[in-house]
Amino acid sequence: MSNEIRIISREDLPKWLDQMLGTFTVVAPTRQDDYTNFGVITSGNQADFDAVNTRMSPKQIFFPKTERLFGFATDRQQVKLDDTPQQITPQVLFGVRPCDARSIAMLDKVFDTDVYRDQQYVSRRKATTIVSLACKQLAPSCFCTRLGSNPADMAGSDLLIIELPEDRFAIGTLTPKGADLLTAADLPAQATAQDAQAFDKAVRIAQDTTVKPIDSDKLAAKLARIFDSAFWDRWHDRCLGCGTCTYLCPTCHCFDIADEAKNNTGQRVRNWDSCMFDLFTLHASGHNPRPSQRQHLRQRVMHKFSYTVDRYGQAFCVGCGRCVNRCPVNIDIREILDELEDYQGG
Amino acid sequence: MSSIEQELRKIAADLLSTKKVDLVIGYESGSAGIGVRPAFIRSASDADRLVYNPLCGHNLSVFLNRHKGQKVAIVLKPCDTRSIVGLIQERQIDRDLLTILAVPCEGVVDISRIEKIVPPDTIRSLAIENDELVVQTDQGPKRLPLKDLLSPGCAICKITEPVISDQVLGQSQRKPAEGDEFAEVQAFSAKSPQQRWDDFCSEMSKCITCFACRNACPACYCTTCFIDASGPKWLGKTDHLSDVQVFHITRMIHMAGRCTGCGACLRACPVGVNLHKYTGKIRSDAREFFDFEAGDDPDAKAKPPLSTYSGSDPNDFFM
Ligand code: SF4
Ligand code: SF4
Ligand code: SF4
Ligand code: SF4
Repeated sequence: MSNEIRIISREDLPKWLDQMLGTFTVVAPTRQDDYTNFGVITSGNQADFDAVNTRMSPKQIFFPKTERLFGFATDRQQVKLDDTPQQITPQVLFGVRPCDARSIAMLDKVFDTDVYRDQQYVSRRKATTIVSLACKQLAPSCFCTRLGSNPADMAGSDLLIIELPEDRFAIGTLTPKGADLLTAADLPAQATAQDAQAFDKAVRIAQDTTVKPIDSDKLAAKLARIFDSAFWDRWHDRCLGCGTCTYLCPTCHCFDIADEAKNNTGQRVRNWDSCMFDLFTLHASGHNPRPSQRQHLRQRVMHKFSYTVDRYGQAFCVGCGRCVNRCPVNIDIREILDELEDYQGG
Repeated sequence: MSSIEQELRKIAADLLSTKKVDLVIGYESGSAGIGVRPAFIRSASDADRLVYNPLCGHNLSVFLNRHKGQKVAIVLKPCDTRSIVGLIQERQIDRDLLTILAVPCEGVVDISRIEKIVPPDTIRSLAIENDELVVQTDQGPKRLPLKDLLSPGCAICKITEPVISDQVLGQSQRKPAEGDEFAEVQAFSAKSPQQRWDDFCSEMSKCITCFACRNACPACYCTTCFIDASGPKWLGKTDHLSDVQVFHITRMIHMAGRCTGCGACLRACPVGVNLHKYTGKIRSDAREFFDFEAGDDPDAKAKPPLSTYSGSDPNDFFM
């Protein structure tokens, strides 16, 4: 639980961001046409604190859609590699929703392990302080509570901001990194004991839920069992294989490596990929072990609710609802989960 | 339930129970907050899942190439029948196996227009009541007149009758839209080359190259799309604006005389890239230079300009 609570008024939130701008690059939800997306702000007023979820998830801040891994140049004698790491400056990721913050903690399990440590990812993570903003209520497509989380979940955040009545916000400190950011801030109001209580109460209310969370171990075992069953016969019928669900998903992290070269210089890049694409598992021989949308969709569900549970001890879905909202043909992962729980076939 | 819906369910049940078709592709209600979605009906007892209302925007013809060799019945709006014409002319469809259930259309709702009025994170459900859309939100219901929510293509649509059909259900009450179908294109064409380029760059900078537009497009049925080809590789695989532009420019050239303006790409794009401005330009060019409009001529032998050559083809652009 948080050890220090500070209070800030709605009016002062942008001012706090302005203070940060002196030291940090600040990335916050900003309005773009009809939706919000994370973007670098140059003034605190540009941040949008009210939209529930940005269209794109914040994963691209740590795991960009295209990442240059290294450059290369060849002449007759040799190949020269240029793997000077990119300059990474300290940044604050502000106004992340708790589901997204939690997804970043999940990505850490993939990109920052003893077996594999991704240099760029880890440097960006180290250089970033995550300030989350608890949700006042679940949007219609949100289902974090089904995933055992809640709108004030603290996983992955350095600071958590919770809105209190009368346009005041309580800022809870969760990590030393968060504490540093808060200490550096020149915030007028100190929290009273009452405020601290209000913060704790808000956290408890968010946790107090009537929704029954999925039992991820049970589900993972069931999924492994019904791999070849009729359960998968119809979900994919309408799937376009467009990959929107995975590109927008904060926890999807599959990538493809490509060389982009012209004459004798070039670069190796890493691009987002998607199990919903035909090309994803196509072998050079022309054989494709997952030849149709049936297998593609099954893979997406297996990866999120079975393989990740086996490997990282947790389902890789935070219930942000992006795939639910934006799938052009309404393939709703919540329906799949509900039916999975009830499915009796073998 | 509307009479069209009733009729549709009956026809679908008949077709399936008499084994005239193996599959009926239509629309059903979507999950909470999302109006409708494509439905795949394989038994007569499921036919009552079918719905039909102004939320049925999807152009279902995109699903046909997965069911080659099967007897399929498909629900199509007047404009969607034009895609089928193109697919027949390009020999992607065996007409004898296909049953076209042509439904009338008074224009379909553009979901992004609803989201401009009602924030998407507050929409609990959508329902049609007479000529209004009832949006249930956390703050209570909101009633929006359907005529204010029409898809961009519908507002300028001149097609009120199916171009091709086997069974026609009801009749559109709508008159062909007046005014210029290509007004947006003309405004675009009137700009200076630099302005057009800036416009294109700014639109393209939104694109996340997910290629959903291609996947949703009924005319994009190539087994190996140029963007997926690796030997030779046509498209650079980075997020650099030039790669994004090469994708769109090449795809749009492939759309000349083939894009019917059905709007499937717009509906699928997760980040609201306005592709219609550019595909519209391609359509108006196909009309101007080749006197061809995709889907207009139901003759199976009509040849889209991309699949034919004539000595009199305009070739002013050759040096
Ligand atoms: S699967 Fe869907 S709901 Fe779950 S984290 Fe990914 S985008 Fe969000
Ligand atoms: S967004 Fe929907 S249609 Fe597109 S790949 Fe995902 S499930 Fe399939
Ligand atoms: S963009 Fe061109 S190559 Fe790709 S699927 Fe469409 S028509 Fe085929
Ligand atoms: S659907 Fe939209 S974002 Fe995706 S490739 Fe097409 S234009 Fe770009």
